[in-house]
Amino acid sequence: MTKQELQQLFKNEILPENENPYHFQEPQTASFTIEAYNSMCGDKYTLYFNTSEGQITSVYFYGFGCALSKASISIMCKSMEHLSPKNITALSDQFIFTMDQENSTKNADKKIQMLQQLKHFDGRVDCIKLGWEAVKNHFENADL
Amino acid sequence: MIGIVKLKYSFDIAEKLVLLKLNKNSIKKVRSHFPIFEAHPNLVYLDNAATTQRAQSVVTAQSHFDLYENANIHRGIYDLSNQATQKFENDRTEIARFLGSGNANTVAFTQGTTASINIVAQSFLAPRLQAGDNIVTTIMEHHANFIPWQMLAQKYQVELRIVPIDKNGDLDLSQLSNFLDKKTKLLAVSHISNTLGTIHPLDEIIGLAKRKDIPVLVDAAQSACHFEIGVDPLNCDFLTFSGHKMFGPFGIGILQVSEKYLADMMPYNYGGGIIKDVKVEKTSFRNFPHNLDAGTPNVSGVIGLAAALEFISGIGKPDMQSHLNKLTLYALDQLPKVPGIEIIGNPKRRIGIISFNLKNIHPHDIASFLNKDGIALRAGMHCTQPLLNAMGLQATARVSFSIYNNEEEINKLVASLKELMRFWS
Repeated sequence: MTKQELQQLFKNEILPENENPYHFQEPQTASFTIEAYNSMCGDKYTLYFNTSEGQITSVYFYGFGCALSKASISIMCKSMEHLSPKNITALSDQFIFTMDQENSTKNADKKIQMLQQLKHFDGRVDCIKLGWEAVKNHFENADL
Repeated sequence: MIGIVKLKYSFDIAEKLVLLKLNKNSIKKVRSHFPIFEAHPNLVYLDNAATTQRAQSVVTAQSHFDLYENANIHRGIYDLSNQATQKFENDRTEIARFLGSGNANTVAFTQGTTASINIVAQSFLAPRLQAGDNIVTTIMEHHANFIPWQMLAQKYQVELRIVPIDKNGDLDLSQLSNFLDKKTKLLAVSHISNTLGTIHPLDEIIGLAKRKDIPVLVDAAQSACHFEIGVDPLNCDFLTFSGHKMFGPFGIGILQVSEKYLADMMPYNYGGGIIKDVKVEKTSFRNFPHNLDAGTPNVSGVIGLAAALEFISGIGKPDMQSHLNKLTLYALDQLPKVPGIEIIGNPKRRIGIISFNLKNIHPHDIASFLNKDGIALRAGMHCTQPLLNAMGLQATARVSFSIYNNEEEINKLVASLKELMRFWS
């Protein structure tokens, strides 16, 4: 990625999401929370999930991290609302798989596609995957 | 008899460097000894606290051994092995001399600073700990000089006493005298903070411990390159550092032990090479440092490290220190010109390392953007999570200098940071 491409990426995609993140606040209540923490760099977020009748009704997040991790979790939170835990597991699985593999199917969501195109962003892939991996690990170990 | 092929290039460099003073022109000459800058002419390498670049003479010395002199050391009854053994042990003597000691048996080769500290924890300290004892360290330490003591403290029901910092990023030594008591089994402290660049007042710290006959470990990972160090010059008991932070190879480091505690260093890793006698009933071991060398040592790593120390001696530590001081002061003068920058800490004495943050820009994002301008710096917690927590920080960007850096590179850093601030806002 050239400097110009990096600037375009941040200007058009990452910074808008970083400056106006979706549901970036600590809600009063939550059905359950998930910690997303990268001990190598200090990025740390709490994800707040609310559920009703087996569906995820809302996802909020709050914490500290780089523009990439924040933008990625913002996009993730929005994409996970109104899904069942089973579908969230499938979505996070697919996202991580796509980030790790060369040949993998694209997600239909344009913003998720944008994140997935950054799989070769040296040294920053962990930032993009941070929230998704935390969700994946949580739901893999949960009784659905 | 197989003759040892002379390593002419290395000696030529050493001879030249004896006369070398670090002014503007000589910096170019110093840079010419680091091939990385031929491969990357525009590289502004400011991550020297993580690892320095490799000097040509180091690589030449290592590869010369690997290509033309390679044999396993000790117990080989043939010329090549004898010569390799001689070289290996001669280098131990040279390294002891570099540390101000005439006793090569105070010097053990390890994988690096982390390994050296863990060896002291397991080989020296663990066998003498009892419930109710305490270990003293500081909040400023790299995880490598923190977690080994924390683990021992938990395992042996020992108290871990942690010297705090003040608001400037200096150690708050007001409590240290109280921390050190009859139950203190070790004081472990770094010479220079790898995050703030603070130079700790070792004279004062070690003096307090010595008055109570408490053994002291100094983590010299960030100082070995340009400060006079050694268990004798510093009056400490354990000294640890890594080759790769002083132009040497990865995977080789030093543990030096004072003569007072040599006999207390027990084997921690068992195998061939460290034994006096092995019977079915019982094994007896050689003395330190040979009781640590189970298995085959990193012979070419030792040769590379010795070449690195020769290179440093050729330049001279006072000149290196003076150059780093100059760069540090220049950076501290120029960096505040970047809008929104916060320099972390303002210690009384600092050298070579500066942490900072930019308003609203995470250090990882800073590093990604500066990378596009060819500037290599580090971002994150720098393996000092307790320190950052104590300072209320989640992460910092860090620049760290070496002899091949210059003021022009600091100007590039400042320009790049200014451009990033403009872009971000």
